[in-house]
Amino acid sequence: MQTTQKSRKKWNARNWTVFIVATLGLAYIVLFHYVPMFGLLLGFKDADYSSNLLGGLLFSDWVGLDHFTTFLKDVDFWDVMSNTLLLNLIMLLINFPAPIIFALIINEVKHMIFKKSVHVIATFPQFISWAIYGGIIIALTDQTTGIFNPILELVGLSSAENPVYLMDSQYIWAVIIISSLLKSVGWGSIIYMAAIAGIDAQLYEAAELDGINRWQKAIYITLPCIAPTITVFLLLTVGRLLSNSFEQFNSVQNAVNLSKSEVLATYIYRLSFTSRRYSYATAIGFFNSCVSLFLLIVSNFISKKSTGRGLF
Amino acid sequence: MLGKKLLTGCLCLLFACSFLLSGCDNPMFNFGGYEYPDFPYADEDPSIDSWTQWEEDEIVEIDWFIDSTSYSIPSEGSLVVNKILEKTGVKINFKKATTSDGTELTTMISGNALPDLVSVTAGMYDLINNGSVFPINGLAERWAPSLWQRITDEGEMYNTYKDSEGDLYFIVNNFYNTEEMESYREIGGDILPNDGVVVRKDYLDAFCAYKKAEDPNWKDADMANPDGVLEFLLWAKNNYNLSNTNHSVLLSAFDSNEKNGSRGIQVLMEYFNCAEEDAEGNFVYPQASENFTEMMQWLNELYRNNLLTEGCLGATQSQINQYIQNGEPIMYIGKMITPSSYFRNWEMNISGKNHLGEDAAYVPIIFTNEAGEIPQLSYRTSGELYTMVSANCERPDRVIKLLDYLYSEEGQRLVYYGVDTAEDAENGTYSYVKQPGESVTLSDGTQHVYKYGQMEYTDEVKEAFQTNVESYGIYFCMFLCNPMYVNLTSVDGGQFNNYRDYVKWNSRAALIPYSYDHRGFEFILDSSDSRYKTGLTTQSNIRSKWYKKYAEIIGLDSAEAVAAEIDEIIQWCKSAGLDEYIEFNNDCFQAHKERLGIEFAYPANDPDSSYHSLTITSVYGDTSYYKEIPENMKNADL
Repeated sequence: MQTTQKSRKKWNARNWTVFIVATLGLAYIVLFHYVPMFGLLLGFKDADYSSNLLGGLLFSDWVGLDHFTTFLKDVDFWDVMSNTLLLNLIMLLINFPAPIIFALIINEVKHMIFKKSVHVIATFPQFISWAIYGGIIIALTDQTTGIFNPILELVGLSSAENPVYLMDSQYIWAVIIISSLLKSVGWGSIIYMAAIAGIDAQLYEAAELDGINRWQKAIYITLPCIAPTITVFLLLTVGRLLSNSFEQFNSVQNAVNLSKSEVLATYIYRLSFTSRRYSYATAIGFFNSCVSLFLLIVSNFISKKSTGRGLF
Repeated sequence: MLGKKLLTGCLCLLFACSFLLSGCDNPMFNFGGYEYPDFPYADEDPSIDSWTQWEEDEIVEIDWFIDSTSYSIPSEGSLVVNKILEKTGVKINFKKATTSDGTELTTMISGNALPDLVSVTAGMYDLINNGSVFPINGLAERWAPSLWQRITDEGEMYNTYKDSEGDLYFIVNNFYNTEEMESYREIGGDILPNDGVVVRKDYLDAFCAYKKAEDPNWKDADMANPDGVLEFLLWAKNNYNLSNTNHSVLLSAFDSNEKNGSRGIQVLMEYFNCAEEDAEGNFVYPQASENFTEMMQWLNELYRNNLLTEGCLGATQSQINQYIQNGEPIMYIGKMITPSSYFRNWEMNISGKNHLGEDAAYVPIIFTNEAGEIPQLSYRTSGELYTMVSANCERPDRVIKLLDYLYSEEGQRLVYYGVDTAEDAENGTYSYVKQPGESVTLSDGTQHVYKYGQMEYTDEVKEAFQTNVESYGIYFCMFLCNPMYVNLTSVDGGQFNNYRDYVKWNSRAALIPYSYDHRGFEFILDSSDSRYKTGLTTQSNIRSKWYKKYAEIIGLDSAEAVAAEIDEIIQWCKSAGLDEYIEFNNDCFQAHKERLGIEFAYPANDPDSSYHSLTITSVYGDTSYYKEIPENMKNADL
């Protein structure tokens, strides 16, 4: 009875305003995230080559799981899946810890101007679109005019007579991983630096009294304190193991490296926009989402069991 | 609590209503089909030009999307655009695709957001089947009887593209009328193949001199085969100390939209005689032929000799253009029109690296496969852009009149020549040299009638062609153009207005004797056939597979590995439905040939063809077709 009275009291003119403002956000989520989900039905219908997607969605024939089974039997399935999974696993091992390490290192720098300069420089590439960034990578890795071949030549990995073509299928993963790392490390470290800034200074002061050095501070105080943040980001990254930035791959993809640079994102794009196989592409996208959700749930479960922390 | 529920309910209802109300008017909710609007019909008399029948104050604005990156669009305010507006009362907002992968058009199609007019290079039958476009004849009989008269009088395009019920849904540009082609040949005109293989003339000349010095009996025709060309390439690379970083052999850039991955592969298939028709006239899959394997093995040999590197295979077309401008390639294989400005730049020494000028120009070469079969290089004659009136168009009555104007002789004259000086002495851009219907006696004593007359640009326009003709808009609105019109009416016998035009001609001219009309192969899969959708899917899968594999095959370790890999892909294609696809293609191919009234599409299969008397007398091809570039054009300020 008391609760009811309380909630009635809370419902005043101010709440109306807040509610209306919140409704805009809610409407955005509903319109742009939930309504498009009806489109997933395309994955179960025969709307390939359709001239109107909505018409295809509403009036084309149901085909059940045909598109899913076709994808599993598709000769491209293993190539695309292995490229997607392996690249993301490598990126998880390299690119995920990199911002944490970068944040820890930056945190130890005492010279403020140097610290801020380094961080700004490292963050800057994040604000360049992949289309432009990809163009820069192509220019830098050019066989004749790029800067990498002379460097590789200096360390004996290339020669003027037989320069390395870095866009080749055997090197493209390294190019993708390194370029992605350089682009995201500064930006990715911001959240960890914020988490580090929130650590109680008394912990460090107490540790200093106990004679702890800077390395031990980072290992025994900083890292455990930002562990919840790391866990959340790790879980989200695991959930995205089948997702890649389409723009990133599209910008460096060519006929020579296609066998190694074709990932689910570019494959779905080509199927949808070049081949107009809307239903098939939707089915693959849906399959991707289901696997991602599964990975997220499993990793969350493991995290909860082992560390007691999880997303939900 | 009740208030909250009420509020939530009201808001949801409000959103749902606004969503529905805004959506109802959205073309996305139009699930196919067209409806003729209720505008007054034009005069039934087809001799009265339909575009003359509109209220003077009623200017209509329309959008026209061109799904091709290779066309320029006319700028607003140019002479031609202003004239179109003046004549038809239609203001056109042109928009062309920014990428060649068709994504913009796909987005428009899937969202049912096609603009008033759309010009596409493929996929028109899907639009037709879904009722997304008006039939041209349906619109013409209401609002442009004169257009229908023109189309049926010409007849050939209509007969090629009408459907089983006699409806025509698009007007095609670059369609060569047989009668006009004959008329053009009568005055000594020739039609160029679309693509080719070119090499640096200074290198080839030096190689031939070297071979002749070695053996006085040696003739350059002796090298017109894969081994001879390879020997030349290796000699040039070594003799001129070209490093492995040099882009010695270039193919046109790979593009997933290309039928065979790259136009370079396509043209080389023609050089190696990988035909789509067998001796019995049946459709065959060229990649399954021995000639195709031989071609890929040859490319692989170029790769293993560091002539064709990964850098060459992975280059974009803009990079390729730059390499050409710098004179890097010994040999370039593929599209000839796209890089023609860069061939010209090389000849004009824009890069500062060409001290030989025209002597180092890129010139076409001809060579056979290992078996010595004479190649057949194609030229397309049955159209490139298919222009359709979208079912979303609100003023199809005015749009069809616009098409009537552009399709008419007057419209063709406008886009090719601009304005007659007799009509506008101040702004006119051309004048008649021969009046329509005037005839001349040809050297063989026959009479040739200039049906449309013969025109010549004013000196001012000739000058503008050397730098920039954009403000006139001439040659910019080519979406309904008929190239034979300019071939028959120009004093130069075609488009020869500046240095680049001559380069475009000379880069393929010597190949003319080896070219053939590709019309027999330009069939479209029958969309009314129950196998259509499966056929499209198989085609898409197979093309995608090859696209991924071309560069990989070229980069293999040995010729045996190339053959094994091709076999494996063919087996995969068979598992993906290749046999059924070939059968479906064959049925459509036979129907198409029957329509054209031909038994064979490939000259080598036709016992009556002049192909059988064809020989290669020089690796340079027949150089008598070259045209000398006028001196005044060589000094143009680019």
